[in-house]
Amino acid sequence: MGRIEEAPASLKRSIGLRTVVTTSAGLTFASSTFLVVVTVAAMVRGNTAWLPILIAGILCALAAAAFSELNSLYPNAAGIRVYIQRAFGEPVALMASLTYMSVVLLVVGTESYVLSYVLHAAIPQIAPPVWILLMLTLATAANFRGLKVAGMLQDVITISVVLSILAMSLLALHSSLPPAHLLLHPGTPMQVFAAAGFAIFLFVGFEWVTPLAEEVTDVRFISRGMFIAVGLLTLVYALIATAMFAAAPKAQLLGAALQRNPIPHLTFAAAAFGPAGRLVMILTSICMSLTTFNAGLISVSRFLFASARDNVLPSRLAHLSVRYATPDVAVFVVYAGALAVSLFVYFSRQYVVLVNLAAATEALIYAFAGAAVVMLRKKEPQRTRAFRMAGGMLLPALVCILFVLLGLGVLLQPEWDSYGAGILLIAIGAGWWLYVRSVVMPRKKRLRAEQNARPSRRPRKDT
Amino acid sequence: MTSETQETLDHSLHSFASDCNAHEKLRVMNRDWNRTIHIHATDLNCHFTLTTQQSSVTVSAGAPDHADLVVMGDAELLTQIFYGELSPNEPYNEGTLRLKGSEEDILRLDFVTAMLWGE
Repeated sequence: MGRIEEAPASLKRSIGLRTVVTTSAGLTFASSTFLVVVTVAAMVRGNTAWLPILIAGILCALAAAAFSELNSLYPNAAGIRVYIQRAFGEPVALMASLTYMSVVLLVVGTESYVLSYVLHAAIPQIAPPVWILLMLTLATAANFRGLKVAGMLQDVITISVVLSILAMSLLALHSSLPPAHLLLHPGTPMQVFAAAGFAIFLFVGFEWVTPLAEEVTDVRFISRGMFIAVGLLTLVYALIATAMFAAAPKAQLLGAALQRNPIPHLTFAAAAFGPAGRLVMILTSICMSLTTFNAGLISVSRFLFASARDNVLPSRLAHLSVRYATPDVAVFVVYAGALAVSLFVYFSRQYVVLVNLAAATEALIYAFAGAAVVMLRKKEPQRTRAFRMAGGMLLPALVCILFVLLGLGVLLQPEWDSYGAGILLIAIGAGWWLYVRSVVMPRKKRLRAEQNARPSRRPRKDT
Repeated sequence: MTSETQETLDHSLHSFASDCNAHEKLRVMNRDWNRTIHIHATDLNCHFTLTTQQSSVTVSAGAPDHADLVVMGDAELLTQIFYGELSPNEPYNEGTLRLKGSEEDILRLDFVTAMLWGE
């Protein structure tokens, strides 16, 4: 029989602020972000990419405030799924989380495309598609064995990446600082706004740190960690964007219209520091992709498992490997999906569509976060919040509106890369919505009824 | 009523432990998962300790000094989960079941319930 006690037990292992910051920033760093940096720079005039990146960073800090309040309400590893479910109900939460995870899988495809070129630059004898196959097989093997980049290793990788990029940026700017007029005239406000929407991709995943809410020593570390990480990412990307266009010719960084340069960061490093700099950038890029691959593949496979357990996806995906204690079927489904997307990106070169899709989806998820703050303040005003977003109802509502506009700004440009992403997002979202309404919700209703009819295992009471 | 609810929760935990100990595949999977799990029924403010040690699961009354994982919820909810009447996913996604610990341990506990009742 349990005894009545006041103090709950303390956890044997817990995470501090440093790991929260490195996890939040580390999940965001990826080799494909350099493609975004140069595309953002090409969308504005002169060398002013720092401005849309700064605007995107400030907006993401507002989104971080919304996530902080939601996380303090529900410190739960299921994160966004729980917040949306509490605010808008289960069908909307399922549609949003299934769409989000589908997009994450597409981002892994883009990342493996870029990394395959980075590795091909290091060892040219091996063609990029072979690298794609090798990398995904290796990452899947690690995922299958349950190996995860976390804790101290995550700290070391993220700190090395930040120091490497900062050092290269500052050294390049020291030797070729652009003139002031190039840094201060970005073009029209619409150009800057559209570029800021695209720059949201640079921050994709900073909020994935909220699952750590259940293992931190102080739940407030999550909000502090997200703010510090967003600030750090803004600084790093604004500096590298400025340095890249100061040290290397724009045409070389961007490549030709039909054959874009997939590795502009290597072009920059070679132009600024020669072969040694290129080698350092290759190593930095590999570190950046390592955490993205690991987190992306693990998150999607565990999400498939949890969704199968929750009767949302086919039950086969809940199968477990007894030997390694991992969801083996889900891991292999993710492997097949990531490989298909990667090879599609390699042969079609349609990665800008996927980057636009990811940026717009992320913007819409942030809009959901703002809206969830407003809704939950109305629905659950008495519930304790360790963090409360400032600005009453106005600021979270503004976050929602701004991110909807940013998302639409990314999707409503006249180029195929932009409206193609819009069509894809509508197709994915509508497909999941139909699936949830017509398959998942009736199935859940039926299973709940069956569950209630099942004989009880409880001891019988003799009266 | 309180005492009766507490007794039922206690019974559900022992029933869960014996199910785990009788499940051969689960014993293989958990051969190196040695953890102390603190079960806290928040409405009754009563505590139990579930210990997994070399594939064997035991239950004792009271809170441990240090836990790897803390499972919190009201007594009826915990009872339903440990009897296998309710999948933990639904209350977890609703925010009524709270877990504190590493993601790996939280996931492993879900693996255990999946293998017992859900797969």
